[in-house]
Amino acid sequence: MERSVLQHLTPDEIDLVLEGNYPGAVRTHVNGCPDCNSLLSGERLLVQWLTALPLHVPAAGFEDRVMARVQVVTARSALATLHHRALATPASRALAAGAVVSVLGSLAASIIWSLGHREVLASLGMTALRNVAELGWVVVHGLATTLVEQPWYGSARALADSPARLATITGGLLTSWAAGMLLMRRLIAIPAGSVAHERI
Amino acid sequence: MPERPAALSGLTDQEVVLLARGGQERAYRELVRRYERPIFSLLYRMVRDRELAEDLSQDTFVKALNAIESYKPEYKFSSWLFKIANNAAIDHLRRRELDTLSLEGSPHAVTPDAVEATALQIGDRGETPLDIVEAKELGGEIERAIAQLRPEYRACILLRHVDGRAYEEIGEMLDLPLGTVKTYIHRARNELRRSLAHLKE
Repeated sequence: MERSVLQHLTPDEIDLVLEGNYPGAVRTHVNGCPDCNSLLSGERLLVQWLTALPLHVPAAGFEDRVMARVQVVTARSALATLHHRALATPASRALAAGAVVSVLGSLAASIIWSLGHREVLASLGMTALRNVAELGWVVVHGLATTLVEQPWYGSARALADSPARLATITGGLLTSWAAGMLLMRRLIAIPAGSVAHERI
Repeated sequence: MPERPAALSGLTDQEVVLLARGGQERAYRELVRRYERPIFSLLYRMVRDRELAEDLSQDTFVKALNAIESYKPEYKFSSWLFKIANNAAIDHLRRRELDTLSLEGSPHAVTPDAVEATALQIGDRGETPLDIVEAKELGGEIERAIAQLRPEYRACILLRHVDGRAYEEIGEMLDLPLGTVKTYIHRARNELRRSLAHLKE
């Protein structure tokens, strides 16, 4: 630091010394200047007293009194949390805006392309539909063939000849299914009574 | 004072604030525990009335915690909290002109309980009775001298040398330029040195 040895301490230089930085030029001046020497020792003592001042304590129960007046935020839904985090900082806002622009841009581009290539789209659609229909028929045919070839197929066919018997068997199966569902629900249900919560 | 849960004591303020925003009451309480003493100390020394300082401290925390969703994480939580506290003190001091500090209690106290409640209490550590008396005398003199400062000087000097805040942070808290903060602190130190010169001997 460029300074004259004769120049008295400035407030900024006093701050520097109090923070532990004691430039040589400043030290030289202080050693030769009783006024600045006295000023600096006075400042040091004052700061020492101030930093030693105790922290005052509020009356007991302060925390509870505060919390009695505070409305604790309820936990957000996942969507609300995502919304909040996406807009929390400038960087995340920029990222979210970029993602939105990309999606909208892609959508617009695909719409424009589709409008300009309708025949191609129609042709592709028909081909896809035809393939799905063929696949579906193959699956159904395969299942039916497999079923007919089963050894119990004859007996099952005989049962279906009697509507009453068929209704009884169907009713029995449905009842069993419903009972099983109810039992499962009871087994995995969360207890409705109050449980201990961790609270400070 | 109840034991602080180990899980929260090691977290930064920002992390605790995130938990509070997630609806965890213990996170709110952790924030109160961390700052009740510094906030109360600042307000006590600003308004010089214990009951009033308690009320203002409560108001500070309630205001901050009820607005936790609007707190911007890029700023220090403590700076934000101290800003609210200082504004509360300055607003109050502008409405009411308070004079000298009383070690014997507020001049407005009328009952013995009120006198005791508003008397300055210092030296809570385990010193000997003589230490306590001497500390009280010295501390009382210092507190008296601080109380004589202008509110703006008082806030700056307390934040700087009692709370250990950097100049830039104080400027943010009090909405003051850096140069003004330095000027206020230098002037406050000059006044305090003059007031306490007799103690140096």
